[in-house]
Amino acid sequence: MEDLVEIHRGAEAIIYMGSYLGIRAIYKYRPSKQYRPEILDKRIRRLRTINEARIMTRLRLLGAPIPAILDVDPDSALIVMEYIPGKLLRDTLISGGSLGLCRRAGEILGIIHSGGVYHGDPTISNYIVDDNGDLWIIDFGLADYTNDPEDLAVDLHLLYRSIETLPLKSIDKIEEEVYKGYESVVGSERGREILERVRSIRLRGRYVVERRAKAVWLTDQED
Amino acid sequence: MLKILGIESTAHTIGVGIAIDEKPYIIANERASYIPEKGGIHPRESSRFLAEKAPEVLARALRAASTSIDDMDGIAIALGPGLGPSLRVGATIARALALRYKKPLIPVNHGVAHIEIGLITTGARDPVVVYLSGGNTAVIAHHSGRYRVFGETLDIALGNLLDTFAREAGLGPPYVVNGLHVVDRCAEGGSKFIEDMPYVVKGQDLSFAGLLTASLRAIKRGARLGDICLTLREIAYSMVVEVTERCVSHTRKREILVVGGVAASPYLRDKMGWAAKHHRADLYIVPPEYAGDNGAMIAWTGLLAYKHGVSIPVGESYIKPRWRVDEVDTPWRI
Repeated sequence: MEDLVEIHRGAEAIIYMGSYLGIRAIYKYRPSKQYRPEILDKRIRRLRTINEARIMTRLRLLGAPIPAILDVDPDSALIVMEYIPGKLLRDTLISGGSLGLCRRAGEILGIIHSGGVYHGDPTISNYIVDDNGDLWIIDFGLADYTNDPEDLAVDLHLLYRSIETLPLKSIDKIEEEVYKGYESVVGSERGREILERVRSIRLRGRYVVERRAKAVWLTDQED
Repeated sequence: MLKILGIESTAHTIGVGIAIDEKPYIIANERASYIPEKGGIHPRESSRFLAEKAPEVLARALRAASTSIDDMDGIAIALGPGLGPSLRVGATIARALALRYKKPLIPVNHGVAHIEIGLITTGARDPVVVYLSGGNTAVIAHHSGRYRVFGETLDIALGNLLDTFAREAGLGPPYVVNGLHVVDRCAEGGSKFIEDMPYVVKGQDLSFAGLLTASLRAIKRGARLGDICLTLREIAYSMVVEVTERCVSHTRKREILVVGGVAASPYLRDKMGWAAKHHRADLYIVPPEYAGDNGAMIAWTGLLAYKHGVSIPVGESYIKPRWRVDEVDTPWRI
């Protein structure tokens, strides 16, 4: 644990790269927030750590391609997980990645949803293409359990939105592939229900504006 | 020199302000607020109060600025968001003035006005805006021509949470005494943090309804009121700071601006200050006289809009009780 190198500092967690029992690993640490009373701060960090680790374990058992959990320490708000070397799906698509990857991205979201979980931030910057060309999904910091089609539709919507920020002409084709992959896992009836909900979300003024703004910000950050 | 008269009547305050396009920018800011003897704000009672007080407040504003309606270049009116009956009072007066004195009518969004008055009075340039009031709780940032809502409450507003709890606990009304909310004051007597109260941040949004229910239940259970207030305050303010922090880290803006009627809390300021320092951002808080609802903010925002060609025919000046800040184009701030 001495060789930790900080690779990302988000609002809630700091991501370090290091090793664990000899293999390369990611350490996700939720630092304490001094504006919260200590007792509350401890509770929140502990619960969120447990929640994230539990969801990841559950999804991994269901066959979702996500990093394996190596260790969890709720009291120090730390999750150690497998490191997935590769490129962001976003960058791969920009440099001409295949439609097969898009289909797979939809499948993976379908697997997560079939497990009764929403991801919370399934943008193309949270999918990783590894060196073998296999697709993975990371960052379950905003994930939670759900049965509500609305939550699932917001996920799919966020994925579409992130695709729509790509400087590409084939957006429609990509989204079609994503949906084909999604439908192949959740079934055509459920798939259509969720897609219908995505459309209705987009028709609500607040979401059109609001979620687009979020997608724009995400893009800015990556540039 | 441009001179705009602004009228605010979205909830329980009738405010009239006058703004000019050179220093000191605001030359009048008069108001009267409906404060019920008990209970909450009944829209009908509030609108009746606003209609009764409006002529006097208008006269006071004109007198304070030693000017007349003839002298104005336009009449700005807050068409929303707010309570329908209250909105209609201000809108009716503004329409009448615009027609009688042949002045352009300028539609203003109440939330955008809270932000604009915060910017001009604090000198903040491009902040993450934390908009906290009785009816609104939102974290907002400007992006490509509009104020975008990054996160907001999914149910009740922060001010609503504090006021409703205070009312049920017998701490108010009035809810704000000597510039401090009665829940803030009561929390000063608390010493123990109550364990099982809900802290609900969902991604970028927050929810206070469960916290209100849990707090009311704690009263019934016989917990000490000071402890409940302390816990309520700490949880509610921490939630707001967490979402703000997320927005700052997302947008990489370097300023935080707190606006709206609940902006004044010194406890919130402390917490926000910590987050600002941590993200190397500067913290700005709207001055108290412009924190609550006021006419000056409507006048000032109306002036910005009018300078960029915004006005509305009287026949189309419908009130918009649910008008969101992210539906408003801001040509004055690209």
